[in-house]
Amino acid sequence: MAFYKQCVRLAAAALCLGGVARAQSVDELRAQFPGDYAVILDYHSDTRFFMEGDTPRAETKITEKLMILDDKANGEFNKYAVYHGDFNNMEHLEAYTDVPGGRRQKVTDFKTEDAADEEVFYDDVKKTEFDFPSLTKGAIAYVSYTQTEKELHLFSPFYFIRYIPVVHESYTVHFPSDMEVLYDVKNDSTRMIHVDKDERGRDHSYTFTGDHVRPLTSFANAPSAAWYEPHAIVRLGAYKNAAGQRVAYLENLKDLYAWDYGFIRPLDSLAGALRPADAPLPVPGDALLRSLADSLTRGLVTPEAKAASIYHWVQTHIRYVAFEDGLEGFIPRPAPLVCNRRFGDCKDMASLLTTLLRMAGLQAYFTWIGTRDIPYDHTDLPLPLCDNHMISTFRSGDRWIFLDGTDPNCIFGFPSAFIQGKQALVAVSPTEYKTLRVPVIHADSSGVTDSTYIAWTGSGLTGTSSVYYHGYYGSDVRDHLLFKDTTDARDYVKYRMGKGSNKFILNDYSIRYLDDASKLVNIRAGFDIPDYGKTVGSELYINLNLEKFFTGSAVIDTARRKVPMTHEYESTIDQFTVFAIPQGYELSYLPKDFTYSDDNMDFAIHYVQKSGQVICQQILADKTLLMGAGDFPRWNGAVKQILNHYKEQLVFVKKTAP
Amino acid sequence: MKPVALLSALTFALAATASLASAAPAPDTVFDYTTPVSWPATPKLHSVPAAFGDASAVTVLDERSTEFRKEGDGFAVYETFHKIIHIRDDKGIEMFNKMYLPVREGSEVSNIKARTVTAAGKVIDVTPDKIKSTTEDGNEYRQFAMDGVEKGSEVEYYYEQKRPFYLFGSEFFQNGQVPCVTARFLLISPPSMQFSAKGYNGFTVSPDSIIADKRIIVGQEENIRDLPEEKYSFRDQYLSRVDFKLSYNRSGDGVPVRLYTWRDLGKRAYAFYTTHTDKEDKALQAFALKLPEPTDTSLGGRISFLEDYIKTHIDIDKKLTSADGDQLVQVLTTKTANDEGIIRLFARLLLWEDVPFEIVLASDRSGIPLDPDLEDWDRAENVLFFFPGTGAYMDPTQDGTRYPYVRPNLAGGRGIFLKSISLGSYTTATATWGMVPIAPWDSSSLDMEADIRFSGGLDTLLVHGRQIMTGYGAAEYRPIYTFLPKDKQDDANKDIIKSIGNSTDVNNIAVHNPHMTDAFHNAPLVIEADIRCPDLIENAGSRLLVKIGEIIGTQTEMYQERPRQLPAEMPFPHKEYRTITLHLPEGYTAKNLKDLNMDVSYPDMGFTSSYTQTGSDVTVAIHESYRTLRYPLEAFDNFKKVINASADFNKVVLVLEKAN
Repeated sequence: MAFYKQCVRLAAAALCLGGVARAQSVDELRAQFPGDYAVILDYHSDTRFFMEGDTPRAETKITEKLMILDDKANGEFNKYAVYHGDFNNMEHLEAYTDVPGGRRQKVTDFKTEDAADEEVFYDDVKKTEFDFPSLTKGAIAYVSYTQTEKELHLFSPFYFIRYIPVVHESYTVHFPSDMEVLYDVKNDSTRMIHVDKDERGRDHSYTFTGDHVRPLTSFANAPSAAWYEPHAIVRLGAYKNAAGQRVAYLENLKDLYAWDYGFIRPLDSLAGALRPADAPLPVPGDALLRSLADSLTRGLVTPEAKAASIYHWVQTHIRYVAFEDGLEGFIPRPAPLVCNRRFGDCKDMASLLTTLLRMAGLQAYFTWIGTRDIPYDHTDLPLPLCDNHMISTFRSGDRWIFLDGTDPNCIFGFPSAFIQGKQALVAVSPTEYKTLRVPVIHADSSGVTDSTYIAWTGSGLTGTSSVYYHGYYGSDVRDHLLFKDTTDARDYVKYRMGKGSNKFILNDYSIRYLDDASKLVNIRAGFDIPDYGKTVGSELYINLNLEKFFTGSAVIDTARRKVPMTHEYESTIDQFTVFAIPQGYELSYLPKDFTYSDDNMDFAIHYVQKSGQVICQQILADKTLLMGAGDFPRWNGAVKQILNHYKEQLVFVKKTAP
Repeated sequence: MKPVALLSALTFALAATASLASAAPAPDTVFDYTTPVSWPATPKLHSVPAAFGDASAVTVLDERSTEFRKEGDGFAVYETFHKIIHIRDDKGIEMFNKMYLPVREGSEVSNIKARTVTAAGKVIDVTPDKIKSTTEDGNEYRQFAMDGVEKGSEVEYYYEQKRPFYLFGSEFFQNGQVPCVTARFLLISPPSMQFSAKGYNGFTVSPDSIIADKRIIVGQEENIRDLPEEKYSFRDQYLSRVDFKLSYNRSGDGVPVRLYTWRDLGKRAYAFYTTHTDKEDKALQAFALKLPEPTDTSLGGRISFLEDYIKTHIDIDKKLTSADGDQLVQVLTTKTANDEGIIRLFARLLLWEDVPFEIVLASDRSGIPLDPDLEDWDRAENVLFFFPGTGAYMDPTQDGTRYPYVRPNLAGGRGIFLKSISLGSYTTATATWGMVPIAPWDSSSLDMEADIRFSGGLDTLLVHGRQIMTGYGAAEYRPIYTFLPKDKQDDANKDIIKSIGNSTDVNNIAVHNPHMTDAFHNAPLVIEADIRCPDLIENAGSRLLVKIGEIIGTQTEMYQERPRQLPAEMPFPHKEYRTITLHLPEGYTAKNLKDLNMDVSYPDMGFTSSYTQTGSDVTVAIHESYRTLRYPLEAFDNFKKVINASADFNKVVLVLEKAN
């Protein structure tokens, strides 16, 4: 899934880094930025697009000036890191501190090493680190370096947000007048970014400036910064070559596709279905792959059944390991190699899937896609920036099924949860592509059905639960159990089944994997919850909402949070709690039912009294993947209502002797 | 102290005999001195003992050797590593289909071999082109992915490493996840070079023996279980391991020369931290003359002031990019220092200020404590200053600690105290073992006060809460108010206050004594606020159920634990005293106040709760304390009862009834 990780990481690195300072005193700045210990006075990114022979390139000079406003957080700002890689090498790194009183101290020691990334096993992203000297109050730290973009298709967007406040920043792209340069400004509803275009003479430029930018604040369940932080995306649409001819670069999706296709061309052309079955085998291992495809589809009739069988094999036999060294980050490896190794990254798995499906006589295509971290569509923004992932798309008649080899428990027919709603760029042929919208799977298709039977012990509850997980929930449970040994699995079951209080004691349990196609899982468990419920005198109080899906902390602080909330997938929870009325007691108070519904959520609590039992049904449907800040007040209102209904206890009284 | 810096000045000269100071193995232990570490030509699959049946992967064999060889005028160390791991499930595959081989500093790695033997017995070799070199956080690795790893397969690898000569070594053979069937270790040296070796936690080590003109020590253990981390424990000291160090030079004809004792370390460390060049002294004088005057001129006040000034004006960074971060001129010029540099600066300034001190090489309770019997200088890396004039300690390398509090994991264990002695103009130090005491339990608190009223609609508790921290309790939180900007401080305050009643509806926050130097007089750090807690009232018909137990915040529980392996050890002894005052709404009475009474007490720990009622005001006093650092395995059940008592208090619900 970490395909194209480099450009995303380099962009993220740019987010964490820091011209021309307008002279302001420390005291003035302290008054302007109360409570902050340092500010970036000026952050300037100055890019020049130019031709090197017939290849467009870019060189960017970054300069950053940082001022220390207080000695308090001493040591917090000294360490500085610049990230760079094969596509984006760094030169002319210079750094110094202007110490109050006029002395300049240059940085002389720099250290470069690999920049570790949890998701990628190996890549070529490097980090150069150094320490600014003498960062005491009033000191100004200065850093500058240049970065050369070898591959202008991967030119990074410019984000204005940094880790501390910024007084002023600017981003300029210079280009020759015979280049056609396009730009997009994203997430700037407050018009923070000011754009200046200079299109006179032979050297044109676009400049984007911003003042007084507040630093990044992180929120729980937030999408990536690309969804809400102001940024500018500049791209080269076309240029003139040495012969003076106009060459389209990234003007439209056709251009992007032509570039993308170059990475898969060798594989796409030799993959099984494009070649007659009796043609000579071009790569070692091809015969083995064919026999694998045959064995996986033998006896199966429908294309769907065959595709499902192949998909399942890849999901369960190929592990995700990502190598992204230079072009390794872009070019899928040949299917026989991936199959033999039993590991690969997303594009390797797409390569194996596409090849096996084609060998089985099915229609399958390499497909570029962005995960939900990326808010753009290829059709709006024809840039590699739109993708960070690759899958295989299988076609059966009018049906297009998105197969993500990296998701070991994804249901055949479901997209992996993290690409729902995204635009897929499907490689139909060397010149033909399709853009398809990946479906969002409806809340009804993923969920939990929980039947819990409880009885009063005199000082708490004892009971059993049988819980069915289906759809994405089923996949999730299987994912979690996949990498757990017996003791870890028990902890996970306790976490999943736990209710009432943290005194929930898990007794015997069983896990049944019921239907592999729908990933249906059933967990049954016996349990005790000592000290749950209360008797006072002749009365017994029990709250039958053993699991409360909301607490006071679900109320969103709307004054602070303007960032949307995400869910991994839509889902429905249907929970029945059946309480056996204890011998000698009768029900004296049953709370009222409650129902709530809006575009984002359905919620209900129903109570029913039956012979010797009270049944509480709690229903929750999460019906959206992304809730915007505009919906927060309504959400808070709903949560408050739900919390009020969660307060309701049932009251039972001891029957008096007749 | 970073031994590399310290040892760079040392030279190893071989000259002359005595006995070994290694842990004696059982008399019937048989050691195999001969089998070399090797790479079998034909690998085969192994069966795994039934006792390890649940493990995701089992190390069938973990054999390592370390050989010291003479090379030219000096010595080099040749190490070999060979491991076979049997893969049992998907988690095992995930753990071992990617390999990271650590390359020790200055080493050359060679002859890397790796292969997978599939469940069907097919051998897939890792070819050299698949092996990548990487550097992360200053550490070098060779990394590669293993092809064909599946359930029932085995992963095997071997490599050799040539390292620059070193004096102290340690090899661990136990971890938290993967049990090991056979672990072997060979320590080989020329006859003139005699090492001490000691096995810990089940690893047995042989006496040394001269075979074929080589001195050999063998270490071994069979069937090493996995030892996962447990709550309230510092596990690493309990892992199976061998430590070794060069102890004797037997190269001459005379008496063997004893080498690298704790006493030697004391002298060298003291000299390293306190000796300065004239140039350094000049820079230091210029700096010291500009130091502001402390307001509190008592000895403790002066120490506290000096520490705070340095830590507020010099960037202390263990991983400073510059290698000169231990040179005082550079430190004072750039206002940046590594750990050695800041210790040297403090030592020199304390001498300048005429503050008597001892340098303490302290054990880290969270790591491997120092062992008087096995002089591993590498483990003596944590330096504290002890002030005989006040009896208190200072932690020089931590910008987040202040006198008289040090990192609590460096207190409560043994340390080596380096005390200067002067003979004429020559100053050196004596090294003696002693305990670094941890502050008494009642000086470190995580106390709480809550004053609770009811909202007009009787649907919300209106709480005025105060979190009151002292000692190590406060030391954990004070850095928030120095290192975080104001908006992040506000977030942190809300998080701290949220533990009262688990509500995010927090207003009117006030913080008292947040300064780092407030530690000096142990002034309580108080964070108080108004909190609205709607979740803490439930309704049962006409009755109100007040979840008063949740006011103390969700407490750690140990209701359903796996069988305990390790004794309990606290980060620091402390108390958690809480006072809750509940103002009952007019006309209501509480039906079950007796539920507030709890008593789970033992001599060194306890949780008690009791209430008093005055009119409509109910006051609950809760006293929870852990008065000592360590609770042995025999006392673990009682320890668990105390931990669970506070979690049980969370479940106390008061039933309020309106009088007719």
